[in-house]
Amino acid sequence: MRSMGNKLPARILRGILCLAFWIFVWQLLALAVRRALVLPTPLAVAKTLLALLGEGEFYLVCLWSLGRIFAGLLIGLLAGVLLAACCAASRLADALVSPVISVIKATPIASVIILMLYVIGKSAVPMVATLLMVIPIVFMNVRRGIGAVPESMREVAAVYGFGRGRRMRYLILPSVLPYFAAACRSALGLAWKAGIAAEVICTPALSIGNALHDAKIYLESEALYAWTIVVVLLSVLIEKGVVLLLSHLSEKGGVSVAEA
Amino acid sequence: MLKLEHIEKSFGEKRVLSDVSLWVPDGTAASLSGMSGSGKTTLLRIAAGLARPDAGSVRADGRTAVVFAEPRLFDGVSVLENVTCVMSGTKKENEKRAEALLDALELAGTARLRPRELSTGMAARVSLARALAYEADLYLLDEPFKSLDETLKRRVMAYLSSCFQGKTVLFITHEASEQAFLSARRFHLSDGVLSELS
Repeated sequence: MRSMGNKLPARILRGILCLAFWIFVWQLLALAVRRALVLPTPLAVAKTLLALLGEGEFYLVCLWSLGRIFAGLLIGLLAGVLLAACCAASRLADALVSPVISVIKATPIASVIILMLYVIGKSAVPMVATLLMVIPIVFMNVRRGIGAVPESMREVAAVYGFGRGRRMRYLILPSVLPYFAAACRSALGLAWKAGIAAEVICTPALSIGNALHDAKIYLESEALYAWTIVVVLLSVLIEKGVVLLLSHLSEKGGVSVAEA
Repeated sequence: MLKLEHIEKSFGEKRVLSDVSLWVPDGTAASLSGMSGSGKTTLLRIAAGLARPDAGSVRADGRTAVVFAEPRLFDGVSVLENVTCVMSGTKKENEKRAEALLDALELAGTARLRPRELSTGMAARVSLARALAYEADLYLLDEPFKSLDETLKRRVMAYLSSCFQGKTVLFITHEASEQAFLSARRFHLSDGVLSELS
């Protein structure tokens, strides 16, 4: 306990020092460039960020962006898992679905976003773009997890006549969960980036992407940097939250998510 | 009852079992010995329905439990759940019975542990407890005592003798002393050919 208590402030201190170092580098670069339009100073960006934090609409914009991207993420996770389960259970489903997943994986997200702008409303595009980024990652990882169930343990299940529920509890879940956790971690970062990119292209009302787009149009570099910092901070916070949630769930299920 | 008739099995060019016939009547036991690679485990797997013979027929009556040469426990759950997972009663009943089985196999205090926290000998006994919990009619055991010391082995054998009363048992062993377990008929596999020892 004592060593844990000593380690935590040391870690925080190290983090603060690293951050201070990079802000210092940024300040030096800004002074060297001397063009606020290209690289504003950290202080100017901090002032803009503080001003944003004081506006009620800022929180509304963040919430709407989070909502769209999380909806896409959750639907993508669910669809990826379901498709992987169907493909593991049926060769026909595998033959039908796997090539589609490969096509989705290979298609540039910008093409998807522009194509979808014609088909669906611009406010739904970020959500769909996000889920299309997430599905292949989850699908492939869950397939790998199902395939990783040892044959020796499948034999135990066969001998003792395990039904679907017991196979799921004792074979599939322990094998899939580490792969699913790894997929969540990868998908989260990509989903967030794809969602924001889609928002920048589609500019739906009340979105971070729209705010970034406006900052670019009106040459407000400070705002552009401030919103980018918001995107990065939200991404880090969400990732930490999801990793904590998965660790908690895996502890309950007796499986380490760090195994994959 | 377990009845294997004219079993043939090859892996590629290598013939492992050649016209093997074995009958273990209801409520009796048989031991199977032979050199490493003589086909004992293959025959046991065929009897359990885990491998298909190239030719011949298998008849195994009732529920079959298998104790594999390695414990094959579920790592993600406790020792207790590794035993209760094959049971069909209520949770409370299952846990009570599983704990009694663990106690009888000298595994008291291990119920809440994870399999990775057990020694090889303990894990082997958990695998035995799981087979007993299944309440099978036919037990197929692949070297069930190999990781137990002599004293413990004798005590476990004594307990299993009482559990296997009226059950059909086929077990693999290398030890001459174990062949007398359950007053079993003794069979020997050599170069894929089965013979009964007197």
